[in-house]
Amino acid sequence: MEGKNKTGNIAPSSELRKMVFASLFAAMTAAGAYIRIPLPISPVPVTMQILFVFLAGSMLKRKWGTLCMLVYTLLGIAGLPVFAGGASGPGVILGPTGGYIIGFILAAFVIGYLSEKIGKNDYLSNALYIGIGLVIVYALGVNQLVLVGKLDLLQAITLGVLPFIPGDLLKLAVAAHIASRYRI
Amino acid sequence: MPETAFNYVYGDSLLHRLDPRTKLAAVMCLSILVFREESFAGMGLLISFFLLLTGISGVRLSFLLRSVRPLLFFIFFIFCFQLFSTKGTPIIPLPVLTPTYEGLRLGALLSLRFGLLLLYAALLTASTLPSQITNGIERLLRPLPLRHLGVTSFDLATMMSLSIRFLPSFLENAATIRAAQLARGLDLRHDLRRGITAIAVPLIKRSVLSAEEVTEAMESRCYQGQCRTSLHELRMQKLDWAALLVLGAFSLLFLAV
Repeated sequence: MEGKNKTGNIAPSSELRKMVFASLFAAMTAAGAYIRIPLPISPVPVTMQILFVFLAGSMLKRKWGTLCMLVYTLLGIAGLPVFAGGASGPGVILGPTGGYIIGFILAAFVIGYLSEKIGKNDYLSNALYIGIGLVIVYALGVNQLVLVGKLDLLQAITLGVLPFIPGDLLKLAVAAHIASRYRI
Repeated sequence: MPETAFNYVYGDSLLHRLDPRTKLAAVMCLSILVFREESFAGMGLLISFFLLLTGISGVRLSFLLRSVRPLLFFIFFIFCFQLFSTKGTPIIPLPVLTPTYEGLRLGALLSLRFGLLLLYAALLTASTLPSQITNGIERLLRPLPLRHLGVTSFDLATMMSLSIRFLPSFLENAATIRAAQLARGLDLRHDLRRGITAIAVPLIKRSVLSAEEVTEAMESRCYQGQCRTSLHELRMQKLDWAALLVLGAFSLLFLAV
């Protein structure tokens, strides 16, 4: 989306531009909690949050991707209903499902870091970075379910990973496609 | 967006008048207490403290209870899991799944804990405007070495306010575009993939354009993130120190008992 012919000769500094885009992505992640698409292959309604986590990491890269997710988390702490299902407040982060939210921040960081470090931007490498990010989200999510929810590992995976896999793989494919075709 | 979108309730109670930083600190402190508590007596005390604060704030209890709803499924699942899988004295001997007294105790304790975490947080968001909380978070983050991340606490606060503005316009655009495409004969049930594209592409295009516009507007107004002033300047009043003192006393007493 860069390189559009601009009518004026104002060239916004890229840092400021990325900052605004990071805010936009944080808002989209929040909106993603409300976009529910029913899919026949998965019993859980698919929400779009994690798609924007992938996109933030792979398009905004390390610094702004991480900040984007940090802002998203802070919005939730500030009481806007931005977490899945319209939850909000610091209690969610400390609660059983808070691991996923911490996972979002770390995943965006790792996806951004990998794509900056390796530098390739084709479909498969993007899918690989995003896949690693997805594993991080799952790992942290399950970790908190086990620690805080006092579930055992198998139960936590059944509740917190398995139902989401089909939808998440689909979003991974979409995100990798977008990230390899467009850049901010 | 459901109408719970903004969890703020207008009011002029003691809780509403406190500095957002005081309230943020109080929620953090109380959350730690909730997390450490292992006995029902302690939970009872924390619940009564919550009810006392609710009484002071003048917010209806049913309004606060709504904040638990999104996580109810998880809490219920964890309760059932503890009830049936903890080993101990059985309540009723069943062949496959045996509910135990120990499980009931642990399950109830965990459910109470998660519920209280959400409720104390709901009390914060019911008595404080999001912009005030943003201000409070900004002020609390200011001493942290955010330079290493390459931003200032002001940048973070600006990003939060930008997101708060972007969110409703994004949802509004989504509704408008959906209606426009439906009017042109789009049938989501007929072809889901094409339907999603027909909505997502103009939606993202519009959002990106508006982000570009905001960037130019900020650039031409010389945005800088070093030192910014705010509409609501935060000032700790005597009331805030008194509230923190009461909270500290309550925590100490609580930990000592």
